[in-house]
Amino acid sequence: MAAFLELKEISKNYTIGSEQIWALRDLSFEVASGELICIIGKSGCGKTTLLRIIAGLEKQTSGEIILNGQALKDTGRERGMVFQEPRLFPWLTLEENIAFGIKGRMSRELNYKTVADLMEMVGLTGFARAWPSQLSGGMAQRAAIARALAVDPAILLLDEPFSALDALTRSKLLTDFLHLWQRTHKTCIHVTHDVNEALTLGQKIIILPSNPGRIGDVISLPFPYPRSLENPELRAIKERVLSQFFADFTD
Amino acid sequence: MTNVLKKTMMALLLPFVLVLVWQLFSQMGWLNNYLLPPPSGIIDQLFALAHHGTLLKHLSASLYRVGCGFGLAFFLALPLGFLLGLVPRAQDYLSPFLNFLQQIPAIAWIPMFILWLGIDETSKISIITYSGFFPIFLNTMHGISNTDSKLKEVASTFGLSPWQIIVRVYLPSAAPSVFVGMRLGLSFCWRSLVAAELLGASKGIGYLIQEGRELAQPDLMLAGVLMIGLTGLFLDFLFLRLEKTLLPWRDTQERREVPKWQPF
Repeated sequence: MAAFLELKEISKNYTIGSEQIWALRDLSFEVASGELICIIGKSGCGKTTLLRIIAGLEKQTSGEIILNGQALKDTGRERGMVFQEPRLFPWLTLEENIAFGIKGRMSRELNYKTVADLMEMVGLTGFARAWPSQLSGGMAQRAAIARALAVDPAILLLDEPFSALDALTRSKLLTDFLHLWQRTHKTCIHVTHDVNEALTLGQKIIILPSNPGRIGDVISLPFPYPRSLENPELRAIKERVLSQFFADFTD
Repeated sequence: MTNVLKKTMMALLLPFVLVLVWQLFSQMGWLNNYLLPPPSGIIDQLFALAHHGTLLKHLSASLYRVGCGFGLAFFLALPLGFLLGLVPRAQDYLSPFLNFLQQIPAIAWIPMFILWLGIDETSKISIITYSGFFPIFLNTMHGISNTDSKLKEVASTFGLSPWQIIVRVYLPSAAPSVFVGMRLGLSFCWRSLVAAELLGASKGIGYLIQEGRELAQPDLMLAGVLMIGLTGLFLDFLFLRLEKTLLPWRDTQERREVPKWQPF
């Protein structure tokens, strides 16, 4: 299968004083259409930077990103982004927030239908007129996912979207997100520091090492959903991922 | 609704007790009625003024000046505040100068304004414009430049043009701050009005106080002072209602109280 999204030797460095700090170094990987990929790494390994580069919010120092045969630059509607925080617009109601990206781009009826469908899909029906300040963290993050999906992006980028939530809400949202993905089969890149989250969701896991000079592991997870983390194969993989993490510590 | 009633009662309690004590002390003869006329005397004076139509004449003259002055201040300060909020580089050039101007109270300009613009309405309205300008300008500028960059990022991931980002992110984000500036600005305008009217006016609330001084009528002076306070309170209330109507989402958030202080 031809690659849908292709990252070619992406590097990013910062100059701090006279020193050059590499956040990412010659990172390459491919994502197939409809694939759900998890990028996992410890904090500070550059995983958020990588996602922001794909989104166009930051510029890579070198390298190229190709989506559907076209080199990417700047931000674009074909890449939806869900941030760690919901980042809803406080002056818009829930439905207006979800409709933010499609406002004025389609008929009123279609707009209304799109928003209503999305609210149903993320389980927010009945909250159309609520203000963001009235929502719980989990609801706000659901709304943020719906807002990103409203423009029907070719690829959805998720930057630790569940990490700021409490454990119970997180596992509920994780399950719901999986259902959502199974329904839409949207190409997703999901960044996380949580190994269990990556094993629950990912068809493929990319391990981003703390030392940007090293090439990270890519692990395929050809297991059906919903998965049990008690599955011996998954447990073995978890061991492998964790040992890589700890190997980093002893470097 | 009962909540509104309760709040109104709570707000009226202190003034009511004060007036009651004041009236009682006056009637007991513990207060010098010339230096501090009783509340009933002031109210009588107000009724007399209202009855003759003089109160309305003075009040409308003052409101007209404040209306013009505030309107002018608003239309000058708002675009300038937007511009400087959007272009931080311009702030480096303009901020020190504007900060210098801001230090000068409106009252200090009165003689010069009269010299330049004559003793008529123009100089009075200019004084009022001057005092209302800075709070509106500064709050608008800060509102725009404090726009959450995280929300700007969200807007740019949806491929919005810079102009769309201004209209759909900067403006609504700055709106509460603009309102704070407008409320402060109106209050500043209203205060400087009296200063402008103390010199060379033939009508207006400030003139009324001046007349009370010349006629040695403390009840007239206090009636004027009372009118200033009440009208200012009423205008502020109107703006607060306007803000609630235009920015309904603010009601669900914590409100910042508008600081009211100006070195005069």
